[in-house]
Amino acid sequence: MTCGGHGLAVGFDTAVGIVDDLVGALAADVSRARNLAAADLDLAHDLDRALAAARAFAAVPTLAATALAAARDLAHRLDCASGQVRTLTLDLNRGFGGSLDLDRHLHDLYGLIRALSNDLGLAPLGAQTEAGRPAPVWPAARVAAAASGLLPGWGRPRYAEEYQAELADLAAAGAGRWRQLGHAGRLLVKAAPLRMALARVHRYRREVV
Amino acid sequence: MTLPVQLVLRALLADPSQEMYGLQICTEAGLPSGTIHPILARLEGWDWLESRWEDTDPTEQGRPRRRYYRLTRAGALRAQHALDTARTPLSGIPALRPRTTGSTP
Repeated sequence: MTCGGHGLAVGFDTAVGIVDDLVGALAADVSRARNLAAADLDLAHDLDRALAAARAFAAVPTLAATALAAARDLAHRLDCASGQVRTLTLDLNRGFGGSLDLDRHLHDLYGLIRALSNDLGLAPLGAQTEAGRPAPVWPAARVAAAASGLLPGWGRPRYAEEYQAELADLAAAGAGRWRQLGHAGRLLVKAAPLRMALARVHRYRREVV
Repeated sequence: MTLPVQLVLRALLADPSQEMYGLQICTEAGLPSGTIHPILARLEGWDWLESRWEDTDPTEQGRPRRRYYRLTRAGALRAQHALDTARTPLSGIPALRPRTTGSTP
């Protein structure tokens, strides 16, 4: 057999040999390609696994980064809070010193008010007695004193003390100033009937004696 | 006998041996302050009641002394009789029955 197209004349055996070589080469190429494909598949599989691992790893660093950022933010806030606590402590110390001064001034003022109230025979508003009981408000005490002042002279001291004791009991029971004032007001309103009753009793006793 | 007088007597008769002070009688009788003093004065004038000052030191207590009232023996009998024969008994007027709780200490 002659292949004359290229001007090259080869024998049949030679052509068969060439074809055989080409087939062999092609088979080798196919085999190589198959191997490459398998390698590609393996590589792809490895890549997938690596990608999954990378994703998994990526999640950890992401979380770690978030946690780190949060920790940094927290540390920053803690620093700020610590600074604020320090500032607050300083303020509190200053305030405590100021409150001690205020307490001392209030104590002095309370002493002055108590002395003035004693001089005037009044109890200061919202004050406490020596025994720690809340004292009656002074307007109520004044009204009660006025009520006893309307009574006959011989009964005046008794009712004055009795009225003040009632107001003291009311104040000790937690009655507000208006309730105390109402109580004293009713004592004042009923001073006239009490005066008449006392006068009648006085007359009756004189007649009996 | 007026209803306030009956209320005061009933409060005092609840325990005739117990002494009560003015504010306590007000509370027990359910009467406003001031109302009881003319009544107590009259009852004391008739010797139905006896009163005494609280035996305590006002300075130590931090308040003036209370005046304690108690029915005399004869007064308790008369008071009970007066309540029994009252023309307008308290039992007929539920709204005016004395309160039994909430006494002021």
